[in-house]
Amino acid sequence: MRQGTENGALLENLRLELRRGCLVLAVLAELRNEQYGYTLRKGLAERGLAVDEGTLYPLLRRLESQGLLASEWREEDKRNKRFYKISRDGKLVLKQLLTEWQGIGASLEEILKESRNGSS
Amino acid sequence: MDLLNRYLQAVRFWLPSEQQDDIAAELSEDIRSEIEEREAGLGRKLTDNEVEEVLKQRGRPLLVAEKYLPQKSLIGPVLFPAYKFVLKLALACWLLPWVGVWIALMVLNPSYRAHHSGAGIPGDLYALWMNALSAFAAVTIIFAVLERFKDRSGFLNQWSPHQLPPVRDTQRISRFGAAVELVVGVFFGVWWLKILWALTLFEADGVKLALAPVWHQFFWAFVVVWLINTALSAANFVRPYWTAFRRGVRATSNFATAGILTLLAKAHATVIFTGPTVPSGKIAEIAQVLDWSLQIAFVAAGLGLIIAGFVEVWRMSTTSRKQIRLNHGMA
Repeated sequence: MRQGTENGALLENLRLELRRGCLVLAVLAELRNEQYGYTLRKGLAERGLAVDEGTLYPLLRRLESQGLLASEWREEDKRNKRFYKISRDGKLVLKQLLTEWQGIGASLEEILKESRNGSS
Repeated sequence: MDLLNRYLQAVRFWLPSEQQDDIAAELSEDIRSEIEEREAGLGRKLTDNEVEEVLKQRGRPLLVAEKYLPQKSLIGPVLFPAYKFVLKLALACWLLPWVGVWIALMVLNPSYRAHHSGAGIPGDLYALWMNALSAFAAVTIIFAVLERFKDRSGFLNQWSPHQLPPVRDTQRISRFGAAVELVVGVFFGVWWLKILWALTLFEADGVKLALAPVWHQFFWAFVVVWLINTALSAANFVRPYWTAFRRGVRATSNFATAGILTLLAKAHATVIFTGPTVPSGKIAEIAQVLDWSLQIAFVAAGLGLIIAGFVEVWRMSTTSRKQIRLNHGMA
């Protein structure tokens, strides 16, 4: 039973690590359209990439400090909300990251194909 | 919304002042959006318990704030293994010998025991605590300084595999080392045995420093240990490679010498100082200092030899295993 729990925790950690790498890409891609934090989080969750606010907001701040996002406080529905949008530099980085992502996907597919052939 | 405001205030407390307003405003907006969405789903306002549940899901204020803070550590992951290693070294080379000498003095030396037992124990424990604390603080401060300067110093980037120490062969003996050990051992042994026989350490102008007569009882014991050590040094020089047998001989010699030193401490073997022009009060003072110094030296050396003996026993077992593996490999 304990072994099962440990394996579960290990799998969860590995899963988080894997998703963390994709998160920057997903956030930059989502912010091609301006959004505020809460709708961004919901949008990611609806597309199967749920992320807690403790991860998302620090990431948004980091990406903004790196010049990949721009943000502004605006009133909407009688409340002040911070809207984020990808910057010009962010678009360039996103393009490069997407190429990288596709390269990784292709390599991984190749590796998995080889191991499938090897195991059959 | 009282709970929410209290929560935001608690988060703000842990944030850097220049970012407090910004982060708290965004966090507030996010939580309010979630609450509003739940209220829209339920068609009513959330109760206090439900708001509490929302906030609990977000986590403790300290944890929430921590995610916005830059990662800071006194000693980072790069230096931490070295830091741990040096702390262990301080424990093994400083604190454990301190405790060992204290225990041995309490067991072997009646006057030390009389001074330090009972009301003296808290004082000794305090000294041990201060020793441990100062060793820990000194090591931590040094590593914290190294952590701050490690990037600027370029120490982590400027290296070459050629600078790494050669692969250690723990079984090989340095021939030069064995030769030095043999020569020094022979000369020191002859000198020491001569003194042990005559008991006079130094004599000039009526001033005499001599070993107490009780030392004489240990003459033959020292002869045996000296012969064993000399034979071992000679064997190591001729065939400079440790075998399990030779490790065993070294361990036995270490334990035997530790035994002799223990007996010397118990017999209160001391040094006698005499001088016609030296006042008797001064002689008694010198004798006291010599007595204490010798007692501490016996205990410290005895402990060192016992530890060295156990290290040899442990190495003896690893040498045997290596020899067995080698034989299997060659078969």
